[in-house]
Amino acid sequence: MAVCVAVIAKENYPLFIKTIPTDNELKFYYTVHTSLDVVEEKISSVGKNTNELRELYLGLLYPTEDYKVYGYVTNTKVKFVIVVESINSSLRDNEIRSMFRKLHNAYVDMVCNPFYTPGENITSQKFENVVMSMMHD
Amino acid sequence: METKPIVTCHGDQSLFSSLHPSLLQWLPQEAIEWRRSYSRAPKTVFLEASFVPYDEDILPSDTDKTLVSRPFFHIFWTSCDLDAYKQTTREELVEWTSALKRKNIPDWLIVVVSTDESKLKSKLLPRSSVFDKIKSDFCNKTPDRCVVVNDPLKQDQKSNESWQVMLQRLRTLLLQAFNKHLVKYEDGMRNLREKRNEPGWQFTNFFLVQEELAFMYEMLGLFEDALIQYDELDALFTQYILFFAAGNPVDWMMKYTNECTKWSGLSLRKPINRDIRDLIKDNLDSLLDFRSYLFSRQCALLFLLNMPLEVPKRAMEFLHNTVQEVRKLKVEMPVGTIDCWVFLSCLEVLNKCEKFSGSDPIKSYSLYTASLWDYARKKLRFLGELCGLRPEPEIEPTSDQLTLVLNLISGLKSRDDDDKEDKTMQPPEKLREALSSKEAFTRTYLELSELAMGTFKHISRFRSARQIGKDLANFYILQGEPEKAENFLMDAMKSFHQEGWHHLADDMKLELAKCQKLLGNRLKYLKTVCQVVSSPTLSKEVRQSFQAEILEIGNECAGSNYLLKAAPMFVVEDIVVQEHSIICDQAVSIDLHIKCDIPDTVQFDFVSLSVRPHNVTKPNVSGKKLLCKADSGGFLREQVPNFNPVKKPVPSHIEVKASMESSSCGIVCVNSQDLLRRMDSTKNYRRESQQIKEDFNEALRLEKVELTPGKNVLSFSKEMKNTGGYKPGQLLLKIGGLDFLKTLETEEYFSVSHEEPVCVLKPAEGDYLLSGITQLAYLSISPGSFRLNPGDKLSLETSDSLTVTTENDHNMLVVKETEDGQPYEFKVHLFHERENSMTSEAQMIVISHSFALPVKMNLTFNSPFWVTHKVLTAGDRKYIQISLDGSTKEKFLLTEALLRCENPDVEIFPMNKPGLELSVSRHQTVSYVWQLKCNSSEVTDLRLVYSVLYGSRLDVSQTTHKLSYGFSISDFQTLYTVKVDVKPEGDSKDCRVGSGANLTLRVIRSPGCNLKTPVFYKIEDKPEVWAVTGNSSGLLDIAAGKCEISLTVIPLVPGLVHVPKVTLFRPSKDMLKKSEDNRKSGSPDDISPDQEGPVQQGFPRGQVYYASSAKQVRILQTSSKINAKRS
Repeated sequence: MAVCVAVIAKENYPLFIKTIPTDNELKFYYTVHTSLDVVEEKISSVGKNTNELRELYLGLLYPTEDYKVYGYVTNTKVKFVIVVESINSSLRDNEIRSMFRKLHNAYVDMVCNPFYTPGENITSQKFENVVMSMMHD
Repeated sequence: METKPIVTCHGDQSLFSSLHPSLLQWLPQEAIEWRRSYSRAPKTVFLEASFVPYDEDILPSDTDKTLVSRPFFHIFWTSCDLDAYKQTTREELVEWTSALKRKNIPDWLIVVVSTDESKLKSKLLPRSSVFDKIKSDFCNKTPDRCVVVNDPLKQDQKSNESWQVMLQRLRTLLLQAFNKHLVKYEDGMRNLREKRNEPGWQFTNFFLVQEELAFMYEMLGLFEDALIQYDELDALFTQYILFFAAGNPVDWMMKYTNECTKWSGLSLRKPINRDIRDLIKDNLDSLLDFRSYLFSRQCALLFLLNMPLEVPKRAMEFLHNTVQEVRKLKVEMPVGTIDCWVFLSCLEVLNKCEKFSGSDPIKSYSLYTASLWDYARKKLRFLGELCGLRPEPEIEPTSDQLTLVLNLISGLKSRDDDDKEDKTMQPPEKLREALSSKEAFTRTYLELSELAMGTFKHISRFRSARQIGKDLANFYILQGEPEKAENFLMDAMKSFHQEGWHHLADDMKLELAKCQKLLGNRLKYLKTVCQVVSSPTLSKEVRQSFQAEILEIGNECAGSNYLLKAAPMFVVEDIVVQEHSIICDQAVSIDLHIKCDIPDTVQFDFVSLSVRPHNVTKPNVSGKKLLCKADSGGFLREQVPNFNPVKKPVPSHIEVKASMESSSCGIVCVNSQDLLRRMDSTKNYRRESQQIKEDFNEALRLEKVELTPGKNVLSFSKEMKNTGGYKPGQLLLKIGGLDFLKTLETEEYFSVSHEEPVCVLKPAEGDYLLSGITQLAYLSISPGSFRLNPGDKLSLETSDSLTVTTENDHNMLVVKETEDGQPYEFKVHLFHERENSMTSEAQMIVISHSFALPVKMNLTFNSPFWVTHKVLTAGDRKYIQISLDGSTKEKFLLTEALLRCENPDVEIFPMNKPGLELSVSRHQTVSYVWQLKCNSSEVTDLRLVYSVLYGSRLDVSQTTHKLSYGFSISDFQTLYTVKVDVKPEGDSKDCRVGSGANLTLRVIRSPGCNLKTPVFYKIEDKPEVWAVTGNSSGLLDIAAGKCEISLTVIPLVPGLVHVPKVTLFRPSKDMLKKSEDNRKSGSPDDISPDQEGPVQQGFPRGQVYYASSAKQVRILQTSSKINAKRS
């Protein structure tokens, strides 16, 4: 399913990045990093009318020929980015949304761990398992 | 769209042609609401029509499924009068209506244009006008199908009104006709769609049917609905492709999987690309053709809808989708062709957008064009690489690649180049040129890169822009222009680093290293490589190879000095100065904890640590540890343009420091350097945070040091020659020509000092040392720069009068353990001989092996008391008074006071109570008195010794000490007694001021005295009290043992007044001789002793007893009468 799942801190540095073809990991790092442009754009465009409750799911950030990059921002400005292959057109918006929800839940569970300091890299095995399940389904 | 719904016209052609222009003009002037079936929202439509002459042959049959080309409506125009109607027009009408009826066409209208006369007639004879006739003949059931127009060419209200009525009628009927046909058509289309799963169904047919509907809508000006048709088709087609990809192939789709021979890209120049439409019609289209056509139609409608923004927005998705579809359908396309198509399509969309950009805010529009530019750029790069147009100057395209270029270009040719007036270069030409030569390719690629980058920057997508910058850098490096690449890479690297994307930053560092190596800037290269070596994300092999390279460079250029930062390869984590205060010539030792982020062990030529002078303000406080900040990042932290990383507002951890001594506390800012850095203009100054190598002459040095990956501890040690405060300055690690320098920012320091030992002796009680008693005192020794170890022996030497012993009664002190920094303290017993002086000096010397020189101490002892003696006289009797003045706070107890005399002629009688114990302390005086009785007047000199026993609580020996005070007295026996008396003159009882009184001076010689010489007297001159008449001085002959003279004195002040003081002197020989002469000559004794210098000599105290020295006489005030007389 997903080929890359990334969690990015409020300050825009990566907390967690997992990619499936690990040999070209760096390419996904670049992709995810570049997607932050669009994430910031989307967040700031909503920020103007503050009364509205922002939707966490940002939708398709940008497509490339081979991949589609989706974004999601929690209320604490932690960003989730999921990259799926474009060829995998069976993935509908709803499925992406549910993936993000699952990821968000896993993240919340992980943050609840008192031994985790927010801002540190995520090393939780449980969280990684959830991510792996999203990538292998 | 140029086509309009067709309406046929029959009847009076000349009439129609006169009305045609105004009809065309007026018909679309007013809108009409279209209520639509299937509960679709009603639309407001402006109707237009194209009017053609009637011909029976063009009438469509009922089965005809056309929509656009169908004549929808039929109008019969006539302006005939009744006669003409009857003769010809009626016939024509019959023929016309029957023809229409045959074809089952109900959509017609008869327009009767009446002139004035006919109107008049009709008014006169109702039901007899042409209009009425026609109505009754043809429109019995449908009266709305006939309409009359009054003189339409006339400009009056009436005719205008009727014209408008006619138009309204025409619009309504037209719409009815359209609606009817559309409903019918849509039904047919729906039926066709339902059959889509039946074998033999052709998508192309369905497409054409639905497109016709779209055309129809477009014709009616309903662009939105038209677009919906295309979107539906798009969706349906996409659906089929997904099915196909899922393994459900349909026959009609097989043609799309065939080899594609054209890749000329999208064309948006014309709203309908007839060429491709024909291909579609003929079922000869390829996937690219079809997709291009569909998208171009969508775009055309979007432009019509005035939504040009939507075009680039959709374009990206369209391009990506199409590429995916080509892959999914496994369309056979020569390599590179799809890329050509994408490239061309991108440019086409961008070209088209540029023309529309005037109407829209550029920013919102750039949001979509940026990625198109980028996409085009990527494709071009790919093509360039494919065709051997890579930027490396030495690589030339092979013949295969040249053939490929030709093949690619041949695929573009089918494009119709009829649009010559268009000035801008068409995408195919651009591609053709770009692929024609290396230079052209480079130019085009750079142009596209710049455009893409600029557009990204414009919409503040700096990360994307930087990504392009990175690609550009890559390109420049390949092109052999690394100097152009460096800045791009540096920018990217810094921004990645600052945003915390270390993987990416490290990737950039590798690129940067490559670039700088090409540039030949060795220092920069080394700096970058150092970063690479210490990277936590790169693989060990990469790091090792770079480390090896560093060492190689170091060895190569052993002569030069490349100054590099030690961090991040070597990070000083802690500095520990073992001994904060040392003495000259002693070695200082400093431990340095270094963390090495290196893959392999490194052998350094030497490592040295410089020290710099440091003002030790608080020498007693041990230096604080660890202020070795985390690596500041150096050039990595420099500001990058267009980059504002989100900063952590508050650190998660705040260091709080409390200092107990000053009872204060504060918050330590760990990154004050970052926070307080000036943001703007610092750029130029901080370009390269220059490190300046300090003076390493005095540095601590270790030769041949090996540092292993991880933690290392280096112990430096050096004998310090000069005194002063120092702190570690810089650390220098040297391999060959490389200097790794780290400026240490630490609070650690050490001081080198030379301080003489100081000894202080203080009494246990009281303020000062006392002589005469054994006193307990504390000897405190501050060793200064020297060091006393427990067990060390100190010997004491003293001057003669002083004895110092320890408690154990010897003069050796043994050093015991004390607290650090505190002086050593010893209890000693002191005894210093008392001397009869207030203070006395003594010297003590402390000798130790630990000290370079013996320590001399000058001590001052105070005497506890001060003894004085005095001879007191009462007539002939003599007394000795001994006084002891105390000088201590503490009381001294005095017992057994004794006065002894060796002379047997003298007897001493104590006047004190026997066995009296007296105590003396500060501000107290104790006196003893003895009477002396001389049995012989011969005794002139007398030696006396006074002794007393004293004891004090201060005395540790608790014994009494004897005080002896020897003194001698001389000439103490009384020789003369002088008596003075003042009596009033005459009979008066009292002396009065101003009146004379009688002064009687009587001198009596003591019986033991055998001196016969006269004595000289002198009355003290006190002019304000007494006026002396007569001789105030003179010689007295005392030979008789007694002599008395009288003088008159006048008291001048009233009250109780001392009698005038008289003093006796020993006369000089001259004086005696003179008086002898005087006596012979009979002249009076008026010589004054003052006249002739030091003639007279006073008697020693005690030899003359002035018996009247305290005598007073009462002087009364004279009466005022006398006073008045005197004045």
